[in-house]
Amino acid sequence: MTTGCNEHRETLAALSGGALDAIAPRAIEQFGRHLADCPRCAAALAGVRANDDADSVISLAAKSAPQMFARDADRIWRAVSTANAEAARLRLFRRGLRLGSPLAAVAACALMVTLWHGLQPAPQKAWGFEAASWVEVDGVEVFDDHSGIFVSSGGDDMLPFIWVIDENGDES
Amino acid sequence: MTPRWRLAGLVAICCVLLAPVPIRAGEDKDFDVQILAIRATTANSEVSPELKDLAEKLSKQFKYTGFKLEKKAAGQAKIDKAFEAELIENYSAEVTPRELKDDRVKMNLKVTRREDGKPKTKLKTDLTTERGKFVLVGVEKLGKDEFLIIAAAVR
Repeated sequence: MTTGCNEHRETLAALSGGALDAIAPRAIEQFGRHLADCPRCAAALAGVRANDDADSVISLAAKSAPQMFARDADRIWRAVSTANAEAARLRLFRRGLRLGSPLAAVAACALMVTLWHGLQPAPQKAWGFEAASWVEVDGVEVFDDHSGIFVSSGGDDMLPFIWVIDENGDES
Repeated sequence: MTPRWRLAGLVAICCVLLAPVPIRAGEDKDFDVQILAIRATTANSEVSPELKDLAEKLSKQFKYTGFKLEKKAAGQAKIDKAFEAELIENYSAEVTPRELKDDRVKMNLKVTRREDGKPKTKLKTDLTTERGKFVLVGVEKLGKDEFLIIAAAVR
């Protein structure tokens, strides 16, 4: 190591320690020119490079950059995993909806028909025949060649009725 | 899910929700109506079991000896709404309840026959009688020895 080497000792130490902020750009430039003439310093720097398994000074700079904390990495990974799981669940729900909608529509139609029939008033049972014992006729109209009617209001064991007769006076 | 299925599902659900409404709305205003078509004849003395009492009385008042129940139609109608029934030999009858009060019922009866594809009214009458009891209306000859009697009741 020459006298010039002493001038660049701090620069070499800073590079070895990764303290690039402590090195002025002008010092790096001078150290670069010095390395061309000084095999010892070049060998010393090469030693630093070999130890760091790096290709250049840039790698040192990258190494000195702020690193992500492990807990941050875990948090980010958990967030990604959760988002993936949510997306998977959403995809499953959409698929179920797509497949189930036609079935739901058919089921709704079947339910509608069932409700419709269930809520219809029950067909009324016909009740037994019993003739009325009296009738009040408010008005009667006959058509065609039927010219008259014969009406009995009932009573004396006679059934009330309306009977259409034809123009000859016969029972229609 | 395609928009078509989505629409079908929506329509079905709406139908389910709305279908019972009109039924419930008019349920308490319906009245039972019954219409009978009776074939009276002089050709025989056959009487349908349901008409035994009727036949006994009618045979005293008319020349007919046989009474056959050809058709029995039962249904419901609201006030001023007709219940229509197809009977025999192209005859049909409409009964329209007008008023029901205590044991009395006021109704309109209309008898129609379809001739040459067109309905021809044979008789129209407004009458009041006992609720649930049958009014007899002799309408028209069906053949040489036969006569159509229609009986109608509302309760």
